[in-house]
Formats: sequence, structure tokens, C-alpha cells
Amino acid sequence: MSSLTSVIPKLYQEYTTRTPKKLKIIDAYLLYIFLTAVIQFVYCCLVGTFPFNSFLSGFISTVSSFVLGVCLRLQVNPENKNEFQGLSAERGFADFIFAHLVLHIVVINFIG
Amino acid sequence: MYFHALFLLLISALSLSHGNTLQGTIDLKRLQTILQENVKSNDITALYYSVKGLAELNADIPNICEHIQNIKYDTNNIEQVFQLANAAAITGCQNYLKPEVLHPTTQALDKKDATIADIYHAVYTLKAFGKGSVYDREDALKNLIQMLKKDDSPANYGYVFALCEHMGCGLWTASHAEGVLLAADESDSKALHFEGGLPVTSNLLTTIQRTYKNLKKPSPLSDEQRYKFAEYLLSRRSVNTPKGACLLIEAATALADDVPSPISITIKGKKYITSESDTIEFSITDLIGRPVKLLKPEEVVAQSGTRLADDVVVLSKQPLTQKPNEPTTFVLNLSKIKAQYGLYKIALSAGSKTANVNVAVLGEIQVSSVEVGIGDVDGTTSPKVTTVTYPNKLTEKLQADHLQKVTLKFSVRDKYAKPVLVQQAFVRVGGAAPDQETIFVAEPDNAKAYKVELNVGGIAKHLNWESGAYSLTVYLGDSAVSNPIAWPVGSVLFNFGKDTNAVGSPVSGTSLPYRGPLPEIAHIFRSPEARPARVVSDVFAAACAAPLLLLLLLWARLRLNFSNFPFTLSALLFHLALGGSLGLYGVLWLQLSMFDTMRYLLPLGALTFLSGHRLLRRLVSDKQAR
Repeated sequence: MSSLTSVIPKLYQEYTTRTPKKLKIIDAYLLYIFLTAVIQFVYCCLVGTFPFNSFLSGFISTVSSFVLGVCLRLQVNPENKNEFQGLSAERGFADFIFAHLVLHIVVINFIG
Repeated sequence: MYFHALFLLLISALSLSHGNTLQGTIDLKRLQTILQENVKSNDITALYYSVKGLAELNADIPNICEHIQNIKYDTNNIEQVFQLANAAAITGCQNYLKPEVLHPTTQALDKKDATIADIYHAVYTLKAFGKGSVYDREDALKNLIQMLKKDDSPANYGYVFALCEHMGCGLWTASHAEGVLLAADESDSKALHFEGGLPVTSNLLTTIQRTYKNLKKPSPLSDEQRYKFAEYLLSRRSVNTPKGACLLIEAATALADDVPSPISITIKGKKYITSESDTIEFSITDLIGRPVKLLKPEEVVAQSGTRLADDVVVLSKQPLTQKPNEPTTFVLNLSKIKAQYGLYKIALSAGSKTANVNVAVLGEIQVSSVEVGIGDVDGTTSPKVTTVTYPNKLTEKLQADHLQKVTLKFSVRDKYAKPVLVQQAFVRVGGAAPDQETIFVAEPDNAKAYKVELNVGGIAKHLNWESGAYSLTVYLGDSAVSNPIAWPVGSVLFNFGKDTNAVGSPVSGTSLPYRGPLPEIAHIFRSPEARPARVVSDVFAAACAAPLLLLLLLWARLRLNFSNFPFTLSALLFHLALGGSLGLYGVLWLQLSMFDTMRYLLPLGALTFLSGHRLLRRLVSDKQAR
């Protein structure tokens, strides 16, 4: 137990010092998406799924945004540079924007 | 040798004793009224047969000479001439007819292609006027036989036999009668008749019987044939025309006069006994309702009586008593078996004939009380039992819901308080509407106690899942019970549960095939469910927005800045176009259709792509330059 209590501050410290600022921005974004999804899910459990398509599109929107955000983070992370030879971070961001546009037109269409 | 013959005779007598008897008689009174109604008919056929039938019955015939004189008929139809002449002969009115009436007869006899029927009608017309010309008997018979070879139908044989009576060739009739009788058609192996129906059958039976009587010979009919012909006549006893009535009277009288005459055994009046009246009357007659000749009253014996339910023999060789002043009525006293009700089969013999008759012994049943129990279906708790005595009703209103069952227990006893079984024991559960009912069979156990279990959840589907008060009625009946019981026990409130209505709501309306256009099918959207209160929705909307605030906070803590923002045309265009695209999505959500959206989105997207491409390329080149 003591190791766990010692590990967590260490981990946090490592994160704050070693992670680039760009990734922290993306992580904040991911946390925001995640919390929104959780709140939607809690609502659905407490109140019901009545306009089911609305709930579904909102939830799917958050889930896919999260996935896309993770993808962007992977591509921007300097440690993964070897994996994405010839693909710049800007290229990743462009893909991210394009995927979002396509995703959300579907989500909006489905929300009713 | 002598004993041997006697033994054979005994055997044959025994087998004979199982021969059938008739189960009805021909009502001559009814037939006579038909004839009397038609004796002044304007139709010569109806008039002739009415007169003939009444003469056969020895009934009074009114004076109808004037009527016969003026009656209209077809002068060329030899059959109608024959009917007119014979009606006149029977009533003694020959003098009222003109001699020209006879002209068609000579024409018929001279005709080359005259049929046997024509010859018969012509000859008997002449005979009615006393002119029966004496033929060369041998020659005439030869001619008739030649004609019979062309057409040997039973009808023609009947005419030839009748002509032979007139010509005096009865011996020829006697030699051919048995062959003709064998040619009779059999129906259902029960009845015999000739092709041509009642007229031919009647004519042949009467002619043959008369001829044999004149020859003083015993009748050629076998016992079996006699019964089968009698069966046929009985099957025709509902005739309504004077012709049918006359022919039936003649044939039935001929058969009844035959020796030995067919015997009819029927139950007269009621077919059951009760504890009050314990006798059954039988009527034993010949075919036309007369007392049977050669039948001694002591020969009428109830040979045996068996109970149908268990084949127990309850009486044997009990003689019947003849009712005074009524020689055809015999009384059987059944006081010995009246104690146990049920159906009994009695073998009744009259002389050598035996008939089996079913009689019912009616008893009384009683039911003292019924136990109405209400308990759980799974039997965890002991049921609450209410006892109701006959003929009272339940005083309190019982209630049962779909997890409970109602049990009715009762036992049926006879007059002597002995438990008995009845053929029908039902419990009816009836609702407010007359057609809302369902009936359950009560099953007896080994101790002859009846029990019905009504599983309230199970019977719901028979009662349309409509909870409410239902009346319980116990029905007890038996074909041998004189007091069937219908006892309304009272009513019970059935509760079939709240959701059951949706499951089995009945299909109402008629089942007739619908022939018009069917109603238009309209799509029905799912009805909206109740939405949460406004406050709840608002709280969650705020909760969903809250992480956005968190995001901005976090970004602020990370000291996010726009210092690197390149204020170039492409950067501005890119952000504007991207924002425009997202704004367009908002408009799509609120009002636009997908197609409109695509039309606006394509140029916006193209602009975003181009400007974004340029902006990012610049960023990359800047980075590399640094």
C-alpha cells in the first residue's frame, strides 16, 4: 500500500515534467471528452434512454471523439516518431479535423 | 330318432326367438282421414284411391254418384278410364256413366303394341261393368308370358298375377310367386321392396296373398320376408296422398292377415319408472295395431332385465299382465328394480318373438352442501373453507386473485343418502354478460366425492381477463335422474391482475369475411415516454457542459497561448471555414435537410481543405526553418 502511495505522486511528477506541452493539451481534451461521456451515461442510467437515437448519437460522438483524440496523440507523440515515418504532426492534425467533420455530420444527422 | 328331431326343433325355436320384432304400427285412423278428405276430389286418381281405400277399411262411403258423373278426365287415357270405372263400381254408380266410356278399352285391346299395364286396365274396366270378356284362357296366358319375356319387371308380374286372378290361372301365379318375391330389392339388409316402390310392392303383396288364399295354400312369404316387407311399409307410414294411403292400407292389411302375422312390440306412454309409478306399459300388436292372433297372454314374458351400466341381471322370466279391456296392452311391474336408478335393458318375448327394450329407472339425487375453499396456488397456506348448505347461497362475498385457486367440493347422494355418481356434474362460472361464461367438469374421486379446482390465473383466458364478480353454479344431471339440480352457490370476486388485460385483450368484431377496401394502414410512431422533469434535464445539460469548463481551466493552467498563431490569410480563412462548417451542422440539426447541407458544405469543405493545407504546410516549413 505504501508503495502505491509513493508511486502515484511519482507518476504524476514524471508526467508533469516529462510530457510535452502539446500532449498535455490533448490529454486535457481527452479528459474532457471522457467526463462528458460518463455524465451522459449516468443520465441514461438514472432517467432512461427515451429519445434513444439522441442518447446514442451523443454517446457515440464522445466515444469516437475520444478515439480520434487518442489517435492524434499517438501521432503527435515524439516517442512514436519511428512508427509514423514521413507523417508529420500537422498531417495528423489535418486528418483529425477531416475525421471530425465526417463524424459529426453523421452524428447531427442521427441526433434527430 | 324322434328325440333327435325334437332336439333340432328346439334349437330352431331358440334361434327363432332372437328374431326381430317391429317397432311400430301403421296408423290406419290417420290414413282413413286422408282418404275421407279426398273422397270428393276433382282429381279422378285421388277419388279412385280414396274410394278403394275406404272400401278396404269397410268404412262408410258417401254417395258420390253425381260427382263421378260430372268429373273431368282424359277419355284417351286408359288408366284414368279404369279408375273412373272402378270408382263407380265400388260405389255402385255404374248406371251414372255412359256406355261410351268403355270405347278406349276396345281400342287398347286391339292395339298391336299394347303394354301389359294397358291390358290390365282395359280388362278390369270391362270387369267393373260386368262385361269381363271370357278369353281363351290358355291362349291369353301364353300371350302374356310372351310379353313378360320382353319386359319382366316386378310391376308387369303384378299386372299378370292380377289378370290371372280374373282369368282363373291362379296356379300359374302360385308357381311363379316365390321367384318374384326373391327378386325383391333389399335395403340396409332390413327392409324389402320391389322396384317401382310402394305401388308395385303393394300390388304384388295383395295379389299374391289373395291368390294363395283362394287356392287355400299357405302363404309363400317366409317369416323373414314378412318382417322385411313390414319394415318397408313402416318406413312409408308417413304418406300423405290418397294413393299412398290406399296402397299402404292394402299392403299392410295383406301382411297383417298373413299367418303368422308380424308382431310389433312398443312401449306405450312413458319409457321410465319413478318411485311413484313403477309400471311400464307395452303394446303388442300386429302391423296395423290389432291384437295378435294366436298369442296367449301368458306367453308375454319379460325374459331378462340387465342394468346397462354394469350388466347385472336384475330380473328374469317375469310375466306381464294384460290390461283389462285393452287386449293389446301389457303391463310390466318393475317395483323390484326401482331402488337403483339407471338404464335397463329388458328382453321381452311375445310367443316366439323377442324384443329388446331400454327403459330408464329414474331416481332422485340430492346434494347437501358444497365446500368453497380459497387458497394459494402453490399450497403454502391452508385454504380458507366456506361451507354452503343446499339450497342456500354464499352469504359473504369471497375474493380470489390470480395467485390463488378456488376449490369446490361436494358429494352427490341418492334418496337413501348413498353416494352416487352422475353422468353430468359441472360448475359454471358466469359473468355479468350472458355470453361470458365458462364451464368446468367436476371429477369424482374414489370416494365418489366431486371436486373442481379453479385456478384463477388459469381460467382468466376463458373470461377475457375481465376481473369482477362471477357467479358459481353447480349443475348435476343424469339421464336416469328425475330431479336434475342447478344450484347457484353465490358469487366470487376474481382479480386477474393488472397487466393481464394487455396480454389477452380479445379480438372483437365479427368474423365475417370483409369484402370492402381495407382501412388505410397508417404508421404509428412510438408514443413518447414520460420525460424527466425540467430541472433534471437542466441539471444534466449543465453537467455535460461542465467538463468544457474544466478543459478551459486545464488549458489555462498549461499556459496555452496563441503566440504562435500566424496571422495570415490562409489561417484566418481556415478557421472561419471550419467554424462555418460546424455552424452549418448546427443549422442542419435545427432545420436543413441533408441534401441542402451537402450543397453548402462542399464549397466550405473545399475552402477548409485548401486553406488548411496551405496553413499546415507553412507551419511545417517554419518548423524546419527553425
